[in-house]
Amino acid sequence: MLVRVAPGQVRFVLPGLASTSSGVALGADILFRFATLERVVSFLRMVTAEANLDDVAASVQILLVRQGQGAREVLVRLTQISPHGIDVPIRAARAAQGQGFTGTGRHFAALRDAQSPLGYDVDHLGEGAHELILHAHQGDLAFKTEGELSLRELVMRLELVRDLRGPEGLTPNSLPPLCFLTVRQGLGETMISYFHRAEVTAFASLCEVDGQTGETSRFYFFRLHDPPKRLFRLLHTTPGVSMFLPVASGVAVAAGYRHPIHLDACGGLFGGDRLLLLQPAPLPARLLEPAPRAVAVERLISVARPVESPPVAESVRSAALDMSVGLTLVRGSIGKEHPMATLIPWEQLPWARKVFFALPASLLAHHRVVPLVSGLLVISSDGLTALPFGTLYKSAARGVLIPLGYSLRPGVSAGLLEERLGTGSGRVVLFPEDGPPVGIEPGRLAPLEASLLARIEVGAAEAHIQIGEPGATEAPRELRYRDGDLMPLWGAR
Amino acid sequence: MSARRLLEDFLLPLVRGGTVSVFRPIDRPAMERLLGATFVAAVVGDLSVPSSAADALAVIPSPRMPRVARESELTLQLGRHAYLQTLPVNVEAPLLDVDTWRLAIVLHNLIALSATPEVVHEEGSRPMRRRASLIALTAKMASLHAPDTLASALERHSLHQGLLKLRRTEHQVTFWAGQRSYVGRPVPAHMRPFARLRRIRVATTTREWPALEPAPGTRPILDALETASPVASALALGTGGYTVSWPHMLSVMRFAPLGRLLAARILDRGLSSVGESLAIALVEYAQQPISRSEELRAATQFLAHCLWLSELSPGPQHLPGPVLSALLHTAFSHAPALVTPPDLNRNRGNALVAGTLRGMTDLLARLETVGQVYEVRHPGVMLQLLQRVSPRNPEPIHVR
Repeated sequence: MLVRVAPGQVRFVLPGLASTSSGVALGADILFRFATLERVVSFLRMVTAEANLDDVAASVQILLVRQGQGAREVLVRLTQISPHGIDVPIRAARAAQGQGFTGTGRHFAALRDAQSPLGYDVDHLGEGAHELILHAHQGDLAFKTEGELSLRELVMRLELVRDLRGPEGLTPNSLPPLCFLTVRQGLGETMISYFHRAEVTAFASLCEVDGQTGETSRFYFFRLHDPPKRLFRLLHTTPGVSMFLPVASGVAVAAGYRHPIHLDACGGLFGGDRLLLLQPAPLPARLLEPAPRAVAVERLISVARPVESPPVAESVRSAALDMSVGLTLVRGSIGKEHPMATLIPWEQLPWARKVFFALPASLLAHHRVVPLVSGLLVISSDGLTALPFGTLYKSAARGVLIPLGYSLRPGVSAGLLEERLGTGSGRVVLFPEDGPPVGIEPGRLAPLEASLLARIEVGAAEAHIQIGEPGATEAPRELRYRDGDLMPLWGAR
Repeated sequence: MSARRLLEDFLLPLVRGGTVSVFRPIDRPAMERLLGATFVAAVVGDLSVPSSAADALAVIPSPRMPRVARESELTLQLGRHAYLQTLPVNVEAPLLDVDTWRLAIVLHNLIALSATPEVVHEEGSRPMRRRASLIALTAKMASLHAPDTLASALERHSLHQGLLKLRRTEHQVTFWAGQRSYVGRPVPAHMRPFARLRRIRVATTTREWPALEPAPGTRPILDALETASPVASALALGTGGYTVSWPHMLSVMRFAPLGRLLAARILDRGLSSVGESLAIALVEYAQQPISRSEELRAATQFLAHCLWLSELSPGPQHLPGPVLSALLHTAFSHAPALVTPPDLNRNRGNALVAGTLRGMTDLLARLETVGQVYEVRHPGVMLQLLQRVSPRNPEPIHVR
């Protein structure tokens, strides 16, 4: 039978009950009685949401008990650290429809409430050899312990909750700074080489766990630091690859899920040299003990062993294999290219003459000219700087001139071009934009200064071209209105 | 209007030659489809406010560049580069950048707005309001700042020059019931049958774009375009179609290669005629409050430079007209540094330099006689101009 504790009362009938500094009667342990395990989970969830479990209780014990022939009940026994720390679990137990008791050993009295602010004592201890006796308002309740469930085991048995955002606010645009992967054994090598190629800071190790049926399963464990965002889909959608996000020291939860209990408040449970990987149902939780010692993937890259005696390829007759393709000009982009020659149309010759006239001797000495059908080709050995008109040519190889903005295909080396086109002995081969290449023998190239004095004879008539005017060959621009006949503004807003 | 059509059917033929197809004017939704709504909103802003020089200085976000075929882009790049190679300047191939798209839209709309020269809309009518809105929109799109580099000036000019070479075929069809004109489009087939019975006569004329009157109301677009791309109007000096605008000339002359080109053009077309109109325009410009003394000084030095070139180049010499003579002679008398190259005094010992200087001094002295024709009618005008040009000139200035 419960009796109210009087103010100033220091002696109690219930063993282990003592008065705190505020006069409240409290035992060393706090016991909470719940009808079902689900309520215990709710209780733990609320407690961990508000406080760290290590700050609340020195130890947590979950007992499966039965009262006589009654239903099975669950008792949660907390060893209190300080009288102030028990307020959170008391509030949580009331919210989870549990009853609170305090005491030590076998006997527990109801916790204080509004009727008795200083707590309860008992008038006499009951008789009997029961394992636990709870002195409640409705009478004394005797319980027999049927089993015990450790908190870690409870955590491992709970089913994960689907959370699209993930416990770390995970979205396709963000990956956490640290994540774990379990990869099936067959994929391991591929993932190692992929992470190495993608320059991801990754560490890997091969783990072995004993399955429920006794067989040993192997898988690769990866630890990724600052994974790039582009890996999100790969890590989420590749079969055989599971991603875990660490939520507390030694615990990681599958990405896209969260544990019903706030595991970050249960740090003490999972300490030590082990790692618990919680997977969504129906997969069981994986406890890796000791924790995997991962090494950097760079060290795990398999290096191909050099072949000691490479097989000799069978040679085929050269006549049977014809791989030759024609050398063609293809258009590319115009970048920083240095012109080496220019083909000045005959229409622009008077203009060029004026420029030649003004050129200093040092520049004149570097230029050679040759009259062609399409115009006067001026080649400079030092790079063309003084003549920014005409069709500009650059040097693809020694003696091989191609227009600016073009390149030769196939892209063979300059040495081969020089050898095949025979330009080593001073011959010049010009590739015009339209038309076949033109070969110019070295004897036809005359120094510009000598040609200037000798007045180059040209066949075409001298056309009057004003400075800044395009050549006479330019096509006219004919205006043609397309849309709308008489109402061109129709539809304009 | 898709970006592909604008580039391939309009811009490429405009730059390289061929049939330049002009479609319905590009209105605001079409501009937004091309360059993005944010960009167009930032460029166009409030249409009820007329475009000003401040529009070009506004901070404008980067547009969403239209996607076009790489081949067409390269062809345009090479076409523009080929044109620029005909100028005596060394410049890289222009890229298809945002200024190119803006100018393309402006040129297209400018040509499209001149499609129906014979149609006159009533003031306040719906078509008139649409047209005014379109002109304001295009003028805002043309409000680019004056080119700040030689490359940007030439890149814009490589597009703008196509407009000046455009030609338009006009068919005037006369038949028994009246007459009809088709500008820039062929005569439709239904006008042809029974030609003798219907007494159909077709008169075809081809007119160059610079010879055409600007379409009514498009002056704001032309002004903005000339500010954005002043090279064309500067190089077309003396050919008619363009009036002399010193602000535009000065924005071209600040780049030395273009300044040389401009001087060569003036000499080609005759210093006595073109130089005279330039001097008249300079006097008028000096009387406007927007003119600055640095600009007037640069313009005077440029005209003196042209006179020196004229003196040095072989061939018959023509004396400049009265206004230019009065300007240069007054400058020579009161601020000789304006009309004499600075390095001439250093090389006075050289026989060639000494001879040239002597000839030039004689010429400048002879200009007094010609310049008096102007000075008598407008006494003190040149001295006032010179005082603005060279306010710290230690030499005394006396009004005669």
